[in-house]
Amino acid sequence: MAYEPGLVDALLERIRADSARTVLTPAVELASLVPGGTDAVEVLEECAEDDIKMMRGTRDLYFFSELSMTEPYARHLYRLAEKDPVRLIAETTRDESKTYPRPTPVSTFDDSPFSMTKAEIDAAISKMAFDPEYADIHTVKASNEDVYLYSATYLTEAHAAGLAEWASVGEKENP
Amino acid sequence: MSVTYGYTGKILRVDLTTGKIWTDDTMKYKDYIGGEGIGYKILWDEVPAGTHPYAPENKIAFGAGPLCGTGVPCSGRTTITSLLPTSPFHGAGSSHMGGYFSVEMKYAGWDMIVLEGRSPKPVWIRIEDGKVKLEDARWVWGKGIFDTMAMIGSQMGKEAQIAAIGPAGENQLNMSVIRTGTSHSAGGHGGIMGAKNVKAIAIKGTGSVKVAATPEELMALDKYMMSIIGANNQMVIPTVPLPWAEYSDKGSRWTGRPGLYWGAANPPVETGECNPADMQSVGKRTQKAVFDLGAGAEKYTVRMGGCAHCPIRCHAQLNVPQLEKYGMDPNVSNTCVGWSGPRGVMSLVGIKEFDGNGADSSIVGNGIGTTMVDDLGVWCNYGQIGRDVKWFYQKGVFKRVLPAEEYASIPWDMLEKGDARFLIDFYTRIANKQGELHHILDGSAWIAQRWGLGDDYWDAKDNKLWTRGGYPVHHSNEAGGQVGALISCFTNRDSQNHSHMNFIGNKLPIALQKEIAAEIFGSPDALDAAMDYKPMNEAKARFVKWSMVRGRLHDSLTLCNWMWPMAVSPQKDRKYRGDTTLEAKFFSAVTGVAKTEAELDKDAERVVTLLRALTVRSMGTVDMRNQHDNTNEWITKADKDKPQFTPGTIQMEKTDLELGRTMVYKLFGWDEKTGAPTKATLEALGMADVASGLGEKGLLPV
Ligand code: SF4
Repeated sequence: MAYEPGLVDALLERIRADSARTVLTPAVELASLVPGGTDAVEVLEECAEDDIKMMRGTRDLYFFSELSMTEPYARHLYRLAEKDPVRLIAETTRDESKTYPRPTPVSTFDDSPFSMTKAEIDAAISKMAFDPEYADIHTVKASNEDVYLYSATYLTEAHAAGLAEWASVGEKENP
Repeated sequence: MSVTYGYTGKILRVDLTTGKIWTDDTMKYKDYIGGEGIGYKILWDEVPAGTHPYAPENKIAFGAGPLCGTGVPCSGRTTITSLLPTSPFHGAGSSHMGGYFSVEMKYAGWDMIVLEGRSPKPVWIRIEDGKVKLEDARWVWGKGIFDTMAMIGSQMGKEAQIAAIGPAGENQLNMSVIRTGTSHSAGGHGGIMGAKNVKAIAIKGTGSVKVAATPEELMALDKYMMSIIGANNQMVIPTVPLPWAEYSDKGSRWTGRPGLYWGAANPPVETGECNPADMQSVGKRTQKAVFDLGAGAEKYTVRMGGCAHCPIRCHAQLNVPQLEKYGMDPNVSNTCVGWSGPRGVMSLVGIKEFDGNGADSSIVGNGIGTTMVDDLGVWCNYGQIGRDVKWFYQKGVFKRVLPAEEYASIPWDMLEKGDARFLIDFYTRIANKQGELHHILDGSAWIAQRWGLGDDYWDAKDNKLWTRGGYPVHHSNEAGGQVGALISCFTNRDSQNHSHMNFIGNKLPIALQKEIAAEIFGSPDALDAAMDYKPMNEAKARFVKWSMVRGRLHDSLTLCNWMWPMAVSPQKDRKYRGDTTLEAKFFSAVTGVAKTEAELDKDAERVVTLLRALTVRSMGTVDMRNQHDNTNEWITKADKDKPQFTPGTIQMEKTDLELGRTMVYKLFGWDEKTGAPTKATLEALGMADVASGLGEKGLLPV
């Protein structure tokens, strides 16, 4: 379908500019860039260039440009945008337990890009404990009291404990 | 003399007994590459078996390799080779320092300096290009290294590079260092300088190193290398998620990120995004102060320092004004074990708040520790001194072996309270050879004999002692299971090998690491996921051999093995692949002698096997498997509740490790039963002279 000249470029420019500022572009914010009756998402699905990626959330659709951010980084921003700290923590933990594999230090979430408060993190972890959806997420402590989360789908308790002890204590003793 | 590229072509020889100074030809040793390789060859040829490290007959070589002084990234290291006083059989080994010493040595026209004999009075050696003079050192003898450098520097000029010993070295204490710059220490050989009555070597060079390639060719290679290089220890992903990064790991040394500063710089410098595409920010990737000392170090960080021709800069330079209260300079610098080794003495309870230093007590305590050891010239034996102090105090060893009066005079209450001023008292005593306590610097093998320490000392997991040879773990079974474990079996001191660690520890996901391992070692099974070790296999043996060979290669070329080899890169476009041919590419470009990766590795294999031959000769036995390569019991027994080869344990299995030894012996062409080099292997490596030397002593396997 042919769109007004400059329409596609305006959408791409906006997404790329947002990504360069390391923020996702929610679909709702693109609506003002297209004339009434035109769906910005449809335009992008049809005409976007290769660097433009979309993620579908429960609250909105989000766009980013791979020219400025990687897909894993965009995923962190997407989880933040979804404003569900329990899910954010659980899914980040699952990703790390599966990919590296490693348990996730709870301190990850007070750091960039998550910047959650201690109260938010504690509340999320407490909620997780009672929700069967997160039954695979467990905690483990290193001997210096650092707390880690892991997904039992990908790591055994013994493995997670060994890795946590190594990351918090062993690695520092063996630089 | 014909033109030599990379090499200056000259070795400076000094007989301290007679004062004779002469020149040797480097190129007659070219099969041993440089640095460590040539140092071992000189030991083999000239230092008879049974020589005591402190005897005038022992020699000590300060070596640079052909890449040193050429601008190749991370090529500013000095390798020191000699006999090791801490070794119970005085085996050969190397110690290493960075800084600018070896580069200045090359600019002065020397590939190596070899000292022998014993001067009748304390001297320091003045080297100004080809002019070499022994100077009276009585005015600096007894001084700490900081004063020594300032005093000798006042005579040589501030552009001079100086390597010196402190009181620990003068007192011929086994655990002493030779230091250059503000923070570059080579541990284990300081006492040999002391035994030779040499306080320091000071060098000024006005020449250069000739390179065979054109400047454009070398620059192109440098530029390519800069796209492969990561952060310190070749870690290739950042600590926190960043827009450009696919992966992150809180434990990475790539600490640079927006919002993290060199906080005491004026004005403060933000480390920033550190995108791998930006070559100019490579030096900001490793904010090592926060990595080594915690977040509290950020505000004290002036900048990162390091060795000549290194873009990484892993030595944190701090300004800690509180140190003046203890009569110390507020400017303090170090890296890794340079911090953790000295402060390890406080490990009974750690460093707590002391002397009104509040939340900054740990930073101040670290500053005190590193200043003391860097001035007095004490070596920590890769952190062993801290574990020893804790064990001896807790187990009542100090109470048993120290005279009551001496025991009562030591401020143990400070140790118990975590007051870091304990370090001032402790290091002053031991470096100055006071009381029985100073024998802690004899090294584990010797104090075990002197203080009657039994199996419980050697076999305690927390003591981390690897063998009865008296050295501890250094990226051993915790680093790749059998890979690190086996690498640690073949040296006469902590293995100091980072070839495997720079790969295993790069922090990439295991699937990616395995892909890369398969390309280099022929199978993804060369590498297991951390803490999930599987039984030994041939690919792991190849990984062990490669790591050992590259370790010797780097210490011979001389490149920093805390960065090299470049098996991985931070480049997503390269699928995180590095380039393991880079050493050969640089060697060929610099020397004009074209060598492939395999050919250069073969040269380094010669160095590995020569060290093995030296060990066989020092020990007077071919039975390396049972007399040398065996490990302490904790390695196979400590985790009683966790069976070997189950997730979560680094415990090894005895027969599996024996199998690993056999596989490694076979790959090196060493006798599979004893682990000693065979005549055929020595001859195939061009070391018929070594074969006949061992043969004459009945030290070739039958
Ligand atoms: S990484 Fe550190 S030790 Fe290695 S050359 Fe660079 S500054 Fe020196």
